[in-house]
Amino acid sequence: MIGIVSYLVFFASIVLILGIIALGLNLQWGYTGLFNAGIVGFYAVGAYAHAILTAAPRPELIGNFGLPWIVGVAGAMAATALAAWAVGWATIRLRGDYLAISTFGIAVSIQLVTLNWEALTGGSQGLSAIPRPLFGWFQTPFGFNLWFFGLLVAITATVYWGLERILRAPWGRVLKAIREDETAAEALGKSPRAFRLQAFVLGSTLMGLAGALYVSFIGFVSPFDFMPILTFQIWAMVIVGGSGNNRGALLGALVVWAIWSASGVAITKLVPPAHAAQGGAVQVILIGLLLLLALLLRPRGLIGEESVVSRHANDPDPLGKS
Amino acid sequence: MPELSFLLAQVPQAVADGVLTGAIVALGAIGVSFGLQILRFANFAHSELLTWGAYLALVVVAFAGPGTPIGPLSFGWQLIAAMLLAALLTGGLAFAMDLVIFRRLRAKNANPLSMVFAGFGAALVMRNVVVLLWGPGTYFYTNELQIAVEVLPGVRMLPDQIFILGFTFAVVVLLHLYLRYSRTGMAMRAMAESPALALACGVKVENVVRWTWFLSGALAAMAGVFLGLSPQLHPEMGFNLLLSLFAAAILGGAGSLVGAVVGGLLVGLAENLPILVISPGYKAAMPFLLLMLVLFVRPQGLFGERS
Amino acid sequence: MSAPLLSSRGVVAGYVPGLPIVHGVSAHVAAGEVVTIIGPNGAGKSTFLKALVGLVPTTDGTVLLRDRDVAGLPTSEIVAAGLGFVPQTGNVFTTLTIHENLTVGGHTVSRAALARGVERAYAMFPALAAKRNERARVLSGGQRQMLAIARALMTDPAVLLLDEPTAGLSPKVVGEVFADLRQLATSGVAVLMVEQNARAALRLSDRGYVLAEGRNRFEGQAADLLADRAVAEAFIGVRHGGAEGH
Repeated sequence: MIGIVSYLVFFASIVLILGIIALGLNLQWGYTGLFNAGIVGFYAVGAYAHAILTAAPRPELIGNFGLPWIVGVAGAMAATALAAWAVGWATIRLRGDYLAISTFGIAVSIQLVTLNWEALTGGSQGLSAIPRPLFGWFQTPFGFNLWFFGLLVAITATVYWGLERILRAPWGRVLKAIREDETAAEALGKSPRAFRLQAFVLGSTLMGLAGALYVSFIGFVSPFDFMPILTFQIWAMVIVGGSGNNRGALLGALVVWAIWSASGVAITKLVPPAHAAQGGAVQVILIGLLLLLALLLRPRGLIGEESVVSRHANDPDPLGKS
Repeated sequence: MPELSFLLAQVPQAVADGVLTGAIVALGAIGVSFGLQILRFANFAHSELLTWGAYLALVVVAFAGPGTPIGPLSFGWQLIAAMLLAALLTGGLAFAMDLVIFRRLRAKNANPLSMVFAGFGAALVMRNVVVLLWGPGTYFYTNELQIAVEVLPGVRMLPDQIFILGFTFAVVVLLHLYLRYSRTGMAMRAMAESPALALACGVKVENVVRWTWFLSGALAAMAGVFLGLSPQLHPEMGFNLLLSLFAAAILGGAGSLVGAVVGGLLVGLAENLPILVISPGYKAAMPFLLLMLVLFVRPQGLFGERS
Repeated sequence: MSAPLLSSRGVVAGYVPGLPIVHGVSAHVAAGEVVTIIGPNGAGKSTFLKALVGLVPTTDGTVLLRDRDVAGLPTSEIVAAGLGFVPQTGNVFTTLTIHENLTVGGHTVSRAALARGVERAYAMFPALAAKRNERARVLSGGQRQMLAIARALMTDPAVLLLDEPTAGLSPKVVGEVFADLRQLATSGVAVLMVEQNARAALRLSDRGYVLAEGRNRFEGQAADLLADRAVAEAFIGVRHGGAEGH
């Protein structure tokens, strides 16, 4: 019994961490229409920044400053914000799909850095013995997990509440206005590029926060925690939950992660170990098909957008006025 | 300074390697460039067409055998035939992809980013179907050993590599003539500039789009076979090249054939020259750095038209 | 007067389903005629033209082109059936040469017809012939308009539709374009255009329509419309040129 509860707490914690990433993506995609194809890169920046700042000093490594947890979290968010700003500043003024390509590129590059810059990242070994907040206060790992789950609930709730507030504040309304009619928003003196960049950086910062929370939950970090498939899983969460809806993003995180975990278990049970790779491939194919079907058949997702956006807003009419 | 002279001595070989990588990247990037300009979205599934082309040729080779090597090459005419057949099949696959996914989104007047997203999903499915069918391991087209020949002082190349360069050059010249002088080629360029005006001119835009998909797929398959020749096939072979393809297409200027070729060569050089001084582990990040540089300085690319 | 080559009846059209911009417009044009549609901004004139050629979906009404109902057909088929269209802005491919522009214009016709069409175009517009292998971006505004018209003529259309052919052109060039259109009509083409340059366009035209709020408001002989005080005050007004705003 305690085994099941223990697993459920662990599962729910991962869902919340992924849910924070999904909220970040939802701000970028659902509310601003920005295509981030390198989610895993920003998540990794946050995770590594936190690990480097908080892990106990080791002579062979550059980082490992042994700083307090909260400093690690703040530093992780700052580092991710900086990375997002650098990519966004160059590409947000360009075609929408160029941002997709650039973010994809930064994810690839960050993965290479995590693998190759051994003095900073520990290379393929990763970094271990990352302090978990208040771990010493608990007798059992389960006790810690329960406390950390509570912490995650509080942080996720704060993020959700904060997002809902700013999206209803003038800032969020400008964002919506830009998405519906860029020209009109511009005429009102709002720079679409600046607002988009802010939304992009803020969304990525949340991904960095999730990275920091992940390492301080697990206690170590390695490049293999940041496979490109994660980007796709987060996308699945936002699309399935309905983009432009924060509750949908959280629900999507739960649904997609449950399907992913369950199919993983089923495949391990059904497929002989010699064909584990094929089993994994089936898992990915299933989620890919789920997404394509969602896109083709239910473009508004499970919950759907909160309010309808005028559909002709991005109907270009290059042959002159209508 | 002995170290510097040692370094300089390696430059010609690195340039040759860069040109070879560049030729393969260029062949793949042409399709990406068409995609960006004629189909109007960044197709993340394009790299999977390279992989599929390579594996489809592998199937043909498995039936026909690689054949008796032609001269110093590692393969016989069977592989060339297999490549052409794979080009047709992969063109058909690209066409089918359009039919099943992208045409439906176009008909719904979907946001171009939905197309990007669909490509993203299609890529994942296609890549993993390769794992499912052929397993995660590697394959070779032939087991023939080859000896590198010295083509210039200090520059050695495998005969297969020289073949790849020559074949790519021929394909690019033919394609250039096609785009320049054929009526469909002109319609493709017209579409690249303004789909709306092409439509108003009575051009059957959907046919041009389908033909563009087919051509992109066929070119990707050739790039994939060449990638498989140098030296092996594996499920992520195309995916690992995706960033290079995008970088080359954007660097050259979306929609420009010459641009894609020059872009491909620059990407190839950017991957091969810096690793003389920095860790080869970062090779794959070079296209990204080059891409960011272009997007900062000249986002329409070297040969692109500012819109 | 011969039977109309193109006649529309009760055309309803718009970009978004359920939000028509054109609410049942009827118009017709016969061989040898120049007909102008005028009206205030947002009257749906341009949308009406695009609906005729299938660039904007029509939800009701008929469009008879040489007695064949083409409403709802794809643009490529309507163009092949004999309707030429010259859009208002961005109406030449600037990255293509003049010759290539003409070739794309004749995309649907046979090779022989294409060759004849190109010859005809160069005979009609010698300025284009001189620059046939240069990119269209080198052309002046007036020359671009000529090219756009020449390209629309490549399919040898029975009816030519033009969306504000003189927008942004200097008064001298406006006169040249109008003269070209009159000459085209003389050769048997039916010309239907939307013009903001209402007075000058009506002087050239045989007949005119006034649209307002997506509906027919007035129609008649061009001279009568020019003379009609109500029309003149409400829709022609003082002479003004230039492009219609957004």
